[in-house]
Amino acid sequence: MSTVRLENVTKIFPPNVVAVNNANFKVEKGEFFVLLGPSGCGKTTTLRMIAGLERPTYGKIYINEQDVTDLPPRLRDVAMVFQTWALYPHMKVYDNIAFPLRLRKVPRSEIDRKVREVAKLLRIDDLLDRYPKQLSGGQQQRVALARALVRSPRVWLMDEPLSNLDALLRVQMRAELKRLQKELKITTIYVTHDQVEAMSMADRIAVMNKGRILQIAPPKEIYEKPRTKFVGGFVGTPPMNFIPVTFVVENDKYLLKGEGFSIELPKELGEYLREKVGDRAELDLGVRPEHIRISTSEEPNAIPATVYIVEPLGTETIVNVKVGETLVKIKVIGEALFEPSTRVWLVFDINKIHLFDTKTEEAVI
Amino acid sequence: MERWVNLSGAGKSAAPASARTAALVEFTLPKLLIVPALALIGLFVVFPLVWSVVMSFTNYSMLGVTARKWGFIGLKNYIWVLTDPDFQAAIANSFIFTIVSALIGQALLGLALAVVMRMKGPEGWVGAATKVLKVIAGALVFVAWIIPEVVAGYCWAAAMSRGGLFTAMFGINYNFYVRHPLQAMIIANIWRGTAFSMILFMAALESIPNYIYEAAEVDGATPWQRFRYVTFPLISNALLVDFILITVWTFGLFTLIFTLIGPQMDYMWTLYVYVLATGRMGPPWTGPGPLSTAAAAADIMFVIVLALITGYLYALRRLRRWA
Repeated sequence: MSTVRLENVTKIFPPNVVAVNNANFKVEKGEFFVLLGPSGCGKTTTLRMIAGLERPTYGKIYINEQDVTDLPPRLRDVAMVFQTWALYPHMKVYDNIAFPLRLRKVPRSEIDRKVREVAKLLRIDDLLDRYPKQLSGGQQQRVALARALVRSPRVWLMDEPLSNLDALLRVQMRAELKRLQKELKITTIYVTHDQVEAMSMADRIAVMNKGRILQIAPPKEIYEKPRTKFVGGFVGTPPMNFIPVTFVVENDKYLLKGEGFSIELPKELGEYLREKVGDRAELDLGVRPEHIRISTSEEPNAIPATVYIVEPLGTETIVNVKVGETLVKIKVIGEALFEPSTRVWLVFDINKIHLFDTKTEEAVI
Repeated sequence: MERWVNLSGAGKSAAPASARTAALVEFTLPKLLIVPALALIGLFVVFPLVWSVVMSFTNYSMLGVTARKWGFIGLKNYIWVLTDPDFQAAIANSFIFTIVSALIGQALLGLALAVVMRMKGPEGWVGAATKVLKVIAGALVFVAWIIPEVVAGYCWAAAMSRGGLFTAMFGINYNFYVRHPLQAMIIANIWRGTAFSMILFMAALESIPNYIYEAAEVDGATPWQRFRYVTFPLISNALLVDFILITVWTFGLFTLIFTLIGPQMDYMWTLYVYVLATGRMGPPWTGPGPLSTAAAAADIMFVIVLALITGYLYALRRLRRWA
């Protein structure tokens, strides 16, 4: 069990592409830590720096509080699953998985036991005699995963290890991987752009965008208290709805005024907001699809909207409505039959709304 | 009504006809197009090979009585060649020459150069300087490959003469190529042929994606292990091609030998030179220009080269397997 700590790590690719901008975090012993972000956000570069494949331009990396910044990968005792799989084309699946163990002079019988064990776990035990080029993408990816899992290194580094599996297998492997990680308690840093994967597997998530780490928190907190508009919008399916509003104070009433509606905030919340942003401010109202209720009749504090289209998904239904020009998605449990162009009213769960400063995009509440 | 039926009938037979044409173009035409090439190969490769084997059992010669009235004489030519001390010396020379100058010199040096050429230099001005050096070194090696063999041979002869480059650099005050023809040839052949191996290996190395090395590095492989278990198996096919080609070329080398140590060739015969020489002076049972005896020597050389190539195949297959 090991810790990994990044201290002011910055990576600049010549001439001046800042891939990772001043990353600071510490991964605890046995933690499942997920780097989440869109492609090009610097998460893979961060992982490669921890592996030792890239050298940080500035900053230091510690494994178990030992400075490894200048240590080559083989002396760091980490295992990595590459996004490109990086299988050895001239070796059979068995030899690919056995390779790291053979380099460590593990006895033959133990190698054989371990390889078969991990192959069985990843359901590739019938492919051990094949060459990588004879496998499908999903199978190759599982071989790459097996090559990392067969060892018990100080840290597991995984770069989108499930991205090429079909939907069903991905869900199964997700659970297997999480269980294995909890069982062996190997510190894991996992890179993904799939927020469902991040939410379901992580102990903590670091959300990255444009080279910066925006928030590090457990999945629940990321979901409930996004610190920026980006985090709020990136996590959750369908994503958080954003509606531009203006916060105003009128006759001791705290109002959020938008296109064709006005919501009155509870006094406590309103006073808190006034303290933070003043008497008047441009904000983005963020509300998750599951925190909106649809009403067919007018109610106090409800926003008028027009049904745009309905997407039934079986156990739930996504209702798309338009508030002014903004498209808002609402998650309704069960069936919800609305004809397009129907006039409806939206009621927000006022305790679960988010407000972001339009300029800085930082969360106000 | 009748006409309609006829018309549709005509349409039906037209479709299979065009399908037949397509099949002809797709499958039969390619086979026909190979025929001229096959004919040429048969005429200039297969026929001479077979004829040289047949000839080696006769007393056929270029001139004299046996040029017209030749007959089979059994293994006489082979026995004459194999018991000839000059032939035995030529075999020894050829083996030493090929192993040292081609396999060790050209291939190993070429591989080392290719690996160095592909290495990532450090950042900054040191890296920039190495890059320039690499280009210059690559160009120099390549120039040796482009220069005509005759020019290269005479240049080396000049360099190895008394008062030439060797005298200036190493203080050798005699004609190096006269006293040590084999060593002189080895030096010249390494210098000349390394470029080919280097370029072949550079291309092979280029085809190995970088992430495979990264995976090996993370898996814990040392630089040597990365070469042994990743690079080597992945370029072993190029290695085989290289070994085969340079062996054949070095065995069949003539121009460089003739121009560099021409007057001293009697002391440094390779098999090929022996074959050529035998065509002029042979055993008493053939006339002037004993082609049959030369053919026997050529066939022995053919078998030797074939055996070498088989040996490479076998050795590489063993090395490619897991130790």
